[in-house]
Amino acid sequence: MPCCKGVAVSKSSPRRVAVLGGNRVPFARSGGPYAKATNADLLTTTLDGLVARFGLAGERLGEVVAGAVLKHARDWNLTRECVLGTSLDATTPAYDLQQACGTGLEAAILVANKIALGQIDSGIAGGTDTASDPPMALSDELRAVLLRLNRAKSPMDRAKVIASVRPGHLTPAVPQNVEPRTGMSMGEHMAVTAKEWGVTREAQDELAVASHRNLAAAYDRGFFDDLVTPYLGLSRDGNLRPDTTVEKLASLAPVFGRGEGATMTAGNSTPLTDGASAVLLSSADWAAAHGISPLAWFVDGQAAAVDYVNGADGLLTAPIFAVPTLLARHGLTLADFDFVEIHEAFASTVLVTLAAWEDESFCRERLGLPGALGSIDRSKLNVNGSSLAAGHPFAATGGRIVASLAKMLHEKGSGLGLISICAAGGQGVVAILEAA
Amino acid sequence: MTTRLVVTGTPDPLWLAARAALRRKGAQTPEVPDVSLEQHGLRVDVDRLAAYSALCGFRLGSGLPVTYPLVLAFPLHVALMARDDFPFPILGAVHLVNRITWVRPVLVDEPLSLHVRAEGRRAHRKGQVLDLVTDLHVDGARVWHSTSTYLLRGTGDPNAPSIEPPPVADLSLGPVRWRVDADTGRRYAAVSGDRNPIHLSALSARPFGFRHAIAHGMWSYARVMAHTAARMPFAGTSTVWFRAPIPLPSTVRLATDGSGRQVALRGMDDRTVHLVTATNSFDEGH
Repeated sequence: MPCCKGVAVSKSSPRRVAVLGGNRVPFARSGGPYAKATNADLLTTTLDGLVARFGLAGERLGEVVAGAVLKHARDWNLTRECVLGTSLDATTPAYDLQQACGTGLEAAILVANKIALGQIDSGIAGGTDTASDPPMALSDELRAVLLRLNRAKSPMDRAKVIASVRPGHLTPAVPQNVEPRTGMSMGEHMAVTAKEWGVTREAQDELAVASHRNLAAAYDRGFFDDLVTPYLGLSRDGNLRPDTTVEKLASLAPVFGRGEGATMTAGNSTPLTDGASAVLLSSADWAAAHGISPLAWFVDGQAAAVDYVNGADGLLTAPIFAVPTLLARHGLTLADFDFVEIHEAFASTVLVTLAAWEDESFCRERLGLPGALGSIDRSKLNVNGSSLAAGHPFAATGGRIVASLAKMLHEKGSGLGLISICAAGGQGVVAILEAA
Repeated sequence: MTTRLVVTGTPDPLWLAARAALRRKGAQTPEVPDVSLEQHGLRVDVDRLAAYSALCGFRLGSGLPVTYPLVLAFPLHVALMARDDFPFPILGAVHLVNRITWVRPVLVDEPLSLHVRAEGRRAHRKGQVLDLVTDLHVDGARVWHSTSTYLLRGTGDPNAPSIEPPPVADLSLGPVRWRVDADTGRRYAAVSGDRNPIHLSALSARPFGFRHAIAHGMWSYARVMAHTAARMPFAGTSTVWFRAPIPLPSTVRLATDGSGRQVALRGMDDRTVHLVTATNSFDEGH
């Protein structure tokens, strides 16, 4: 479009952004029912379900943004390729995004921002991950050999290069669940933080049990009927244990941390999971033109990061910093929220987050606040379950939470919801939704 | 009165086919046996489906590829064709046309019933044709249906109605080219269970008059259906006319009407048309 005088690219003030709904497949424990499904299978199936739910076949959307944390090299254009495999109009642009476990929520923020600015009218934000089909790469040594082989000119040179291969070179490079700069797994990092904050085993197990019970109750009352589409024999999240108890969880041995103070078990940590989710966002006009009532408004989002390598902060504590910034921008306090969704990477992640916001000296010294940020009524926290029960396919968690929270706000008919998601690399992504 | 035979367990197509191949000729009776072979409570093996989907280019979704029930029905097809009273030999019959109708997507996790019968033996210009009819039921309702028309070359009837695809001249060649690898026939045999020697290697194809192994027609058709899957109707009919085998290895080109509803798979030369497909949704009529 030629740029000419008087053409307003965007309205003078940002537009409101509607969350219209979402779709996801039930999340499955890795190596289970989705063992043979690729990220492309999961994301395409999820997008297809969303397209079917909202009658979007043949529709050109503003854009589709999604990503995967564990991604094959061949999937470099994953989201666009998936869009081409759906019944969306083939002229719908798409791109991939990756911000570890913040991927899904960051995708929603980006789509919402473009809608707010008037650059697009509608879009899908999503994410997919499968721990069952992880990429494996050639070792750096073998790659170096193959690159040398490619450059070798004579048969003699090639023979020399081939002869330089050693058995050890053939070991593939498998994705590691560790922070590259510390060599510690996410669970080990969290165990350190949990110990610092004195989070007890009992409190973690209680949170885990609540997550399972809340998620099971939500399924039982049909809450997920228009949010989840059955896939490959699964109609509820495979990790869900409705009848688990604090006593059962108490029998599990710790898997992260060492010795006396080790509190983190397989029961109060999320398992490796396969799944995908997607959320439909639009302007109010687009929603009205398509006869869809918004569930919620996507108010705002915020990312933060902490220096967990050399600084004092724990790997998964960045949302603790992101939320006060976001609240300040809107003149809100924690008490203003009707629902709070804190992603349960580990039960202790949630408990540390709550403890930090209640801690006056931490809030004053580290967050620069006049006093404690405040406490969150447990009856507002993860009321329909979270990742401990549902599982956590890394990039799919943001979409799961945005769609569920939007529906919760819509059911209530008023109020605000807060989302907090921690991510690898010491990052956090948070957002506010408002009932529509 | 049709005899209904319920097959329990899975017949081994290889054993049945080998036994029937020794018979070579087919029964001398002109009639097709009035028999319906049935299998009930069939469950889709997701691992097999995933392998099939990956080879043909389908996504592993919540619904079955429209071509997949024919893979499920293959053991019953062989069991029917291997019968002593079946008029065609099991090897050497040529798949001319296949028409699939679906009233809704078939879900991966539904229990399925398959019904297979032969009918409509009739004259063709190059010999005799008959139809293998496959029905797929869920909860007693037919959700998917296929008619596979096979030709047995022999004394034909020049006055018999011809089986011709719609004209392909209007379909335009786009940028889509597929390299069809030499092992395509073997890989399709592994996922479909159809180990017809004409698809496996040049050596095994030669006794049947082929200089090269040829791609399985149902692989080529499935590859086209996978390519156009996003444009397929919720309910509809898809017909494929097999025109010329794809020698392995080779490169083929896709010609379409733009919507993916009509497709021709063409060779790299200007004249070879390997297959033609036409798909209609129910509400468009057909």
